[in-house]
Amino acid sequence: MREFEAIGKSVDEAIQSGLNTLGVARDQVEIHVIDEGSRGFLGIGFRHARVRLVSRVESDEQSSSELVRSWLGLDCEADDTGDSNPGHGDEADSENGQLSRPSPSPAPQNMSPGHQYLRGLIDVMGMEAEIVETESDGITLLEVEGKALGVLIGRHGETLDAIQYLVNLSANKQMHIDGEGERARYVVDVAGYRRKREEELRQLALSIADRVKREGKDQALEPMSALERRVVHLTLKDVEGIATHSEGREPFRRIVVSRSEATGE
Amino acid sequence: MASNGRRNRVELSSLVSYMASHLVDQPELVNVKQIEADDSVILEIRVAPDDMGKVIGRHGRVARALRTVTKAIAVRQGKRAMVEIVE
Repeated sequence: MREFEAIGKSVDEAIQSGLNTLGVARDQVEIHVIDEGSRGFLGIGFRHARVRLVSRVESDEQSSSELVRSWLGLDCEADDTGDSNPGHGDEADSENGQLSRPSPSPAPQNMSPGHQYLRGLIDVMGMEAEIVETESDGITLLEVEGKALGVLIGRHGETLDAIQYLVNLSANKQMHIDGEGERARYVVDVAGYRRKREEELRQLALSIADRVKREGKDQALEPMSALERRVVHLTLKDVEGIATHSEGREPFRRIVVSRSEATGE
Repeated sequence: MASNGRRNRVELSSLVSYMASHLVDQPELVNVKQIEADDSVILEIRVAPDDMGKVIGRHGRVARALRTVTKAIAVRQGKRAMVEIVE
């Protein structure tokens, strides 16, 4: 059983964002509305809606795959402001006998469809690289290692995200042909880029938050992908006196870090 | 690997055609034409009419991914690539 609190501009949005994060369907959770939020007037008095979702499904996820899950961008389509992390629920899960395996196991000899696709793609690009496949909790991580792979990453991982997207599409298409199966999920990383970038974003978020606290002025970050914005939102979620929101349209959508007015929190 | 002679000299059309044919229902009808002009390359993708949506995607998301990857590889060859999906 997992509990998770989500926020959003409306109750519906909050629920949707929570469902996305938990990766469950609406009929698999109990929904408690904590705060219906308020639209305010002319932007004054706006309050986010808050809901608590209690998952009835036995959880088979745990924190080690939480990171990899976030790289998948499971909630990419939703607005990223409503995310929060069900971190506290993780320990509780292992208590009721549902021990999950955090250690990724090497994939069997036969490559997954996503691995085959990526192998072919890298070959047709004329690049030399090794791909290591590991599977954990239904997510397949494909790590590409080799020389001069920057081209596969691109600015802010733009190329990497595109490749990951194509791997997921093509591999699931293949599955469809071979027969009905569960949707496979792939995360592609190149030269440890995702891990490094995530750490970088965390540091950046914290130092910006510090500055905002000191100077009291809002700070806009440079435009980022939904995946990257999510990291920033999550990092600053629990920082006292700091609020984050996103502004602008993709692909120029950016985070603004400001002082939160609500001093009661 | 169709690189004879210089490495890195990848046919961009093979790359585009690889990506496109893995997305569509009728890969045999995928056709990619490569038009070179100075330092730009135009890649025209043709697919079966029913497969158009598959290479474009919702809000053009798939097309954008195809462009991003193709451009990245083209830049490595000092070229500017334009990927067009034609009817």
